[in-house]
Amino acid sequence: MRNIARGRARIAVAAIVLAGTATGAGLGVPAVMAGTRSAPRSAAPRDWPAAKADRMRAENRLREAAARRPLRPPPAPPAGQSSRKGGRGPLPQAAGGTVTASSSQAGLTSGIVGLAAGGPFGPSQFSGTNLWNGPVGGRWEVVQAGGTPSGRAGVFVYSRSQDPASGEAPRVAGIRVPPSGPEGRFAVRRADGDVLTLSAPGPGRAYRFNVVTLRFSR
Amino acid sequence: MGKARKALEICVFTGTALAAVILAKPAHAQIVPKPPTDLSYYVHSGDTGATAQKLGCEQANFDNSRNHASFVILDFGAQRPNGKGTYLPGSTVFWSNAADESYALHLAYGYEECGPRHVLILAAGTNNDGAATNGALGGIWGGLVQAVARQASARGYSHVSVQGAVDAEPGFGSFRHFKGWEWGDRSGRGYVSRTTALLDDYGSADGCPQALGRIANLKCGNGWNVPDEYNAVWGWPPNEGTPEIYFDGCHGSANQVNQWANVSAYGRRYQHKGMVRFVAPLNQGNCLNSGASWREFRAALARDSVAQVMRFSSQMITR
Repeated sequence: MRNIARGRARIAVAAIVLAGTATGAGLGVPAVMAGTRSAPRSAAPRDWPAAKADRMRAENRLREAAARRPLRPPPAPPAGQSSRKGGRGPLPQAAGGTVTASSSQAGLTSGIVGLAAGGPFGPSQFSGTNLWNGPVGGRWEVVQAGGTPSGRAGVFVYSRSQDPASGEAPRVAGIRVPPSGPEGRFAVRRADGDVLTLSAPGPGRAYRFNVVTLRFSR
Repeated sequence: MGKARKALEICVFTGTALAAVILAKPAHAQIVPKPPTDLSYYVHSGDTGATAQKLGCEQANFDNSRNHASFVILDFGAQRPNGKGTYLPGSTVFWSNAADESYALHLAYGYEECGPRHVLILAAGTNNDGAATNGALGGIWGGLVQAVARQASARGYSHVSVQGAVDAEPGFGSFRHFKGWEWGDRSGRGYVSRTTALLDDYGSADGCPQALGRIANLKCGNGWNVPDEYNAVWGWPPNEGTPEIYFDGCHGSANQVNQWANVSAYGRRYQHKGMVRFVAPLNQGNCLNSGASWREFRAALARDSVAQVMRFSSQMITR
């Protein structure tokens, strides 16, 4: 009898220590059982303002309600973000230069896009403003306008597969700056055929960049 | 029976006293080990539902082996101006909102299916890059986050908590546009109109003061200022922060360690909501690895009198 009581006391102490440790560290503890499934409890940090803690509680209520429901897989991924690994036939080319995967769930749209970080570069390599992208020579070319860390206006050029679902690494052509070009950052203003018109802030002329030859011209 | 009860009382008392001593100690004096580093992901054009499911399962196994909860951001890139999806990070490939939702749900399912014993906080992230960051787009993102949360609950993912995230950066766009994205503007009602989920800011504080403790000049880049950064990372009710701690001034880059510590110190001195309680430092493993990011950020926070214990450690990668 005494041994049983001691055993119970030990279990109680262990439970208190475990719960205390977990609560102090803000960790989830498997505590709520519902049928054969569980939802760990997870509390907002004690030093959070009430308005934030309320939001976390609402998220947790939604999560804990899931323990009463059977586990089901998500719906099949939309086409274009499928598990397909092999190749396939020609991609559909929509009006306006949009290349899509087998549905409109993934795609590439040619033209000028207002993205500052539209390529595989970091802020220590290049600072973007906007970009042009489109098909060139069987690949999808991206000309990101912006500036170099040294403060010169330029473009960062790379190409990728025309298949929006391709995981192939992009091929980086590198940074191009015009000889005696301006300081600051370029922005793409117009695209006419193979030629982009770029300008930098302040007074000064426009610059033209050929997306096939990757050269600036006057 | 009596001895057992007495032993229990002693243990409880000792435990309580120990806890009181630990809690009473200033945070910077504690030896707090870095939590396990969770991987967050720039979603890539080659990623599939199967990829996400595998990543979720790996996270569940990781959490079980480390006996710790986790925090994972999925970065889906900038929203398209028409609101029909996102440009995946560092690319011009777009996914529809349905594709983004599906990917997040597959990661949640992968986590749930692999016998987790902890909670994964899964944050669906976008950023404020792009020509149009406004209330309409914020509302669409809030709706997406809410849809993922409801679907996860309806499908029985009881170990996955879903929230929103945004890589808010001065270099991407103006604060006025970002504020409109979250709180609404003439174009739409904003993130908060569609969800009550928390919003994790995992951005940078471009151009903010880099000398520790020097916040007399509150200006940051592109018209943002330190109070703006404070609101984005903590001051507004839905917001919390996993700040970019990628650089400490290395290779001529900004000292993000000091910039974010200063934002928290500003809050402690001037805002009634006080210092920022960061969720985790986020690193990329280039200049600072996860250990250095954690160590340097903790030290800077302590030196800036805003010492704290962060619950997680995060690293952003492209798979």
